[in-house]
Amino acid sequence: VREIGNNDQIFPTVKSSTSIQEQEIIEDILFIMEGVTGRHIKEIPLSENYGRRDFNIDPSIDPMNKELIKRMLPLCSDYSTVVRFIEEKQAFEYGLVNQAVGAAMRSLINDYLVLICQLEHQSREGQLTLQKLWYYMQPTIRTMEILASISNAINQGECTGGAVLSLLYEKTHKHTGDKRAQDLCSFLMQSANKPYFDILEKWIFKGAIVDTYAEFMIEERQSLVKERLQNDYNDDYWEQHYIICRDRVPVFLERQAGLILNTGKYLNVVRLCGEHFQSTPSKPFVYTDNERELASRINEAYAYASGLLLNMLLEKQRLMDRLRSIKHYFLLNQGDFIVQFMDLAEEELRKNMNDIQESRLEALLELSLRTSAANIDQFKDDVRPELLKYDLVSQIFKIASIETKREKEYAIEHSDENLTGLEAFAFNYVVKWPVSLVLNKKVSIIYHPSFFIHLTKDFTSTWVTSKRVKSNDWEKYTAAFALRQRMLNFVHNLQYYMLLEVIEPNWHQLEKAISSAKNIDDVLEAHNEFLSSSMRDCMLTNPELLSMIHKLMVVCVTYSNCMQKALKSGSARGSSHTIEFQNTISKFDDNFSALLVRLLDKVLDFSLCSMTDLKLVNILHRLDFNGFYQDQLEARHG
Amino acid sequence: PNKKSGDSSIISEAALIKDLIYNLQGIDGKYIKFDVNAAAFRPSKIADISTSRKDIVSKISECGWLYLKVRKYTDLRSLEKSFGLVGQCFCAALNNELTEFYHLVAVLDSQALQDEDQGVTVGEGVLTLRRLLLWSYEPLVRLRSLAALVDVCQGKKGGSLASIIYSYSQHGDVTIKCLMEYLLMKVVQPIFVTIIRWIYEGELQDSYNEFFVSSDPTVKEDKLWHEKYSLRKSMIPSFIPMEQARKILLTGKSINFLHHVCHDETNVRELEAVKLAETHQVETIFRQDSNQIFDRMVETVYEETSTALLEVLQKRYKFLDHLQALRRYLLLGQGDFIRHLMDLLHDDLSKSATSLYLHNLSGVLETAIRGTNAQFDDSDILKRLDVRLLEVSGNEVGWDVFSLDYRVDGPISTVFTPECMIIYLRIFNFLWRAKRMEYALSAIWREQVANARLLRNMPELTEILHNSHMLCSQMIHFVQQMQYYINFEVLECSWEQLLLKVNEAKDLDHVIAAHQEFLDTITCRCLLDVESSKILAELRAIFDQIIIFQLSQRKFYEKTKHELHLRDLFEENMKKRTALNEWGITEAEEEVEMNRRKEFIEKEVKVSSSAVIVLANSYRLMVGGFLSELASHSDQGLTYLSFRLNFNEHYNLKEVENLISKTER
Repeated sequence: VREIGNNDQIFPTVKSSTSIQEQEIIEDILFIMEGVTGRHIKEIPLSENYGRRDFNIDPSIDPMNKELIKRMLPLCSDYSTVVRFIEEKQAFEYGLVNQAVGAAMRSLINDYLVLICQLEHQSREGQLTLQKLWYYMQPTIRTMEILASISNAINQGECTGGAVLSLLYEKTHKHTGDKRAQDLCSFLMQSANKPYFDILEKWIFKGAIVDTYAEFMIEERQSLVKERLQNDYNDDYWEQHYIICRDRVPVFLERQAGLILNTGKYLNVVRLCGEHFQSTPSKPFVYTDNERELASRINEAYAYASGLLLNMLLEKQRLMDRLRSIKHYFLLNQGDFIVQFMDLAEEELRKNMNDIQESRLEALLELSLRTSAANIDQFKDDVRPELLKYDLVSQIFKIASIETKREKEYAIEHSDENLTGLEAFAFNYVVKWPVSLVLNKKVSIIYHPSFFIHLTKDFTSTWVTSKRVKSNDWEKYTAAFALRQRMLNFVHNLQYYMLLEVIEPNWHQLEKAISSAKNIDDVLEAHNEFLSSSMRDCMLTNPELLSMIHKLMVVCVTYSNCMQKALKSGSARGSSHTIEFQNTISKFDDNFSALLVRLLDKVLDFSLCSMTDLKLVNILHRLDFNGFYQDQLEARHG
Repeated sequence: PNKKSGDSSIISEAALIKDLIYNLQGIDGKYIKFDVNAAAFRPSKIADISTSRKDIVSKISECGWLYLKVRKYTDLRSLEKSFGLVGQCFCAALNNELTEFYHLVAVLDSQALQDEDQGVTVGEGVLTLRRLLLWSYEPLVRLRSLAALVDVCQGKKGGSLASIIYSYSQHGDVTIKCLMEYLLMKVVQPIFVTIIRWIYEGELQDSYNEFFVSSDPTVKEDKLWHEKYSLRKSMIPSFIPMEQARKILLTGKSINFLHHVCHDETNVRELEAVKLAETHQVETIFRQDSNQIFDRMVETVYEETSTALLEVLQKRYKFLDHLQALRRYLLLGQGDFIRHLMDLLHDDLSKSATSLYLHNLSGVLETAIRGTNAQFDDSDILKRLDVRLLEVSGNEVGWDVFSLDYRVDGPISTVFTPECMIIYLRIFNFLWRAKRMEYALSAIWREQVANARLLRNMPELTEILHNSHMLCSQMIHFVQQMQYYINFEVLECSWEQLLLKVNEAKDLDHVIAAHQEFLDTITCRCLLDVESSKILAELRAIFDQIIIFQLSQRKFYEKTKHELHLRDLFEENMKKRTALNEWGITEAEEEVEMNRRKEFIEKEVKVSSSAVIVLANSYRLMVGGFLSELASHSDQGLTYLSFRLNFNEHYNLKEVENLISKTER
């Protein structure tokens, strides 16, 4: 409130006695309270949009009354703020919640106008004095102050939707001590929550967002299409198609935000698959200040939605059958198919990657699918061959490094021109929506520990060729064959360990977990758990172990190639060659033994460090069951 | 407050109130008049009113201004003839709202009168400016939103009007929301009724063009399904999703189709499910996001009507049978019939196209039907089967112009449109040609096998025989693989898909779409689309080579047989004479014989032999070209075909490319 100073507003000269002046002042105050200019008290034009209304008071008014007027004027300022707020927020762009707040405030303003009329009535009967007026105003002053402060807070924060609700919620809690103020705030809260809860209801019971003014806590991103799930590495669709906008989440729903998001998402998936469902709230879904009840309502909706989706995935989409089918191809469960395919395609795969005809590979794959036991698999048509641009080890590194600090290290794609088909080959599995929620590309690429398929195959053929060696040549080859035997032992045991000791038990657990899953998140979690534990136990997550295994494999492959060449050309026959040959063999031997011992050592280290990794120790016992490498290991430690 | 009453130049509060009550109805008062420039009610300049009162008066009289605005709109629109039912309802609803307002004004007025009569200025129930402000507070909000709505609705009608009101009803303020929903309910009424009539009876009552289904009365019944009805997009209310609008359109269309084209009197309304789903709650149409009553009604009627329609097509008009007949006859599914027909027609078709007569061919067709399993087919279907000769443009032979035809009429011609039938004829032409190649090649092979034994005694023929056998088997391999591809990978697969989709189809549009897709797939895979015209030309050239080969083989065998006959005669003569104890041959005769043989080898064998080699080379080149074209085709099925034809890399594509580029140079 400002005293009249250099302001050029003219006040009528007052010559009447103080008592008449008081009547006039009351009349003026009543006008000012309604936002109408008075005779002695005039409003100052606003300098800014959301500014506070100030008034000029006629200086000729008796100073005692002036003091009293000054105390009343904040009410008028607040009124002005509130009315401006109501009118402004009526517009569509401020959103439903603001409109609802405005409407609630308007009903309070209506009461306020009634009060003024009553005061006027008293005043006309000559019963109203300034003191009385001050007394009658008291409750209203408080109300209007709160309303104005809410309006100002909303204006300043440019809040809409959920943010308004949070603000109201905080205000309500700030006024816990003041019963009237709290009632007022919770009244506003109730009205403001109505439109928001309508949206929320549609989301958690229908899975649809009807949110024209971007107020709701969940936003749909149209740019992410579900088809991308099949050819992209990340599971963005599931994670990011619907996102929570943190600034739009009302404080009291903060804890349930994730639950709310998932509920709607599940329903949405079901809807996208064209299933009809009937989910209706048991009673009207409205805001209550009982947070526990609210939470239980949301939980109820969530339980329904997740059950629905899980049911659909398991029954209609036959998720379990899909997983089993994938296991056939990616986890080498279907032995005859793998062997058949390798027999057919080996020649093609041995070529350089650029020379391989994909269509031929595809035809061969199809042939082997149809001629092996895989033929009875109903999803067999979804398997496709794929040639990657990098070999398996770097690929596994890439997956293992996702979301770790090493990610950048491996982010560069090793695009190797000289890859052979064997190294670059991988199966691909066409997964359709909505199973792709569980089996997206990132996940399915993890299903690739097939890198030792060709290895076993190689060794078998080496073994076959070595059968041709004539008995009188045996001596020359003894060392070579012994080494071959050790390598074979290593490869077989590794394979046995991975398939039977790691994958099978984990798979069993997965099946159990899925059959007892209550919602889709359980399934996702079980599946992820399966993958990560399999990866860990297969030593695929540890870069050191992995690179060591890879090196061992390389040694084995080169050795096998070398042997085959030697056996075919019979180069070991000449005596000069024999020595050279034996040198080569012993070099291989040293190399292999050193690597293997290092690997075992590492495994030992690991198992000592972390007691939980019990499975990993098994490989140690398996590879060194008769203590063959024991001495070397001890030597290393000694 | 009564101190001013004595002052004559100052207008009393009561007088202002009286004026204001008139103002509220948009009428000029004594002191307060409507100022057109400011578009508001203003106290006249002569009247001396305090600023405070001026302020409060202008606040109250805003209602009057808003009222005028709404009133002007309804007055103008009710004069407009083409405004339509929806508009009329809108005006009526607005007037209703205004009546409420009149009621308030009347109450206020009587209050003011009462005050005046009693002469009270102070006391309970007195109307003051402040009270007037209080009274007009609620109506002001309503009038404001009505005025805003009226502004936006200028020039809109029908569905789009409803859309606007719907968008205004999305408001957080409960008062405004209720008001708008009330209006919406009134406005939607005629739309709702039209929808009900349309989906239940197929009748379109829309004299103002405001419904979202429009009908073209000029379209005849045979094109009813495809052209008569369409969606008027601008008139679809925003609360009806596109998919639902499509279903509504389809439902009415199906009913009309049933009644007018199929002459079926099925009444879906009688069905129990439809009765259950029927609703008369108008508001369900715009509350679809909270309840599914309307959707369920539309869905049920749609499903029942479509099912009824499909059933009629299936049972009465035997749609599937016709589909199968087309597959069997036009797409050569009935093997024995086609083979027999080809046997019968073979000689006729080799003649020039101009010498063919339809009546002869129809007779042959009849014979072919009678002689094969086709005779057990439904007589209705067989009646529709006919022969057709494509237009003769010059020196074609009968093979090029011959075609089977299938006549469709009535309801099923909605699926088998004339455009579709043309596609069928084109496909038939292609298949017939491919079949003819198979036929020709097996004839060659037969001849070769038969003659191989006869000609064993003519060693000079070994090379040419070997070469032509080789060429023949190459051709057979090619044609058989083509046939395999066409029969199994194209026709069978697409047919399977088609049947699946037709069985799953919910409405006729799905069936039409499935059928169209079927034809499209076949057209594309059989190289009949625009993209593959070059490949098709190459395939034709390959086929032509086969025909040339067939002709040359025939000629060659005729000649060799003649030669063989002469030699046999010679031998026989010799034997006869030897039997008579004479010299077998004289020297002169031997010389004649030897010369003739020499001439035969020089003239016939050598020429034919080189001809076969040339033919084989060019054939090989053509197949190579064809394969490399195929391999780069965008359709995957065709890429596979290339792989199938060249599985062992017999045709070295690189070599072929080199050759082609060389020959081009």
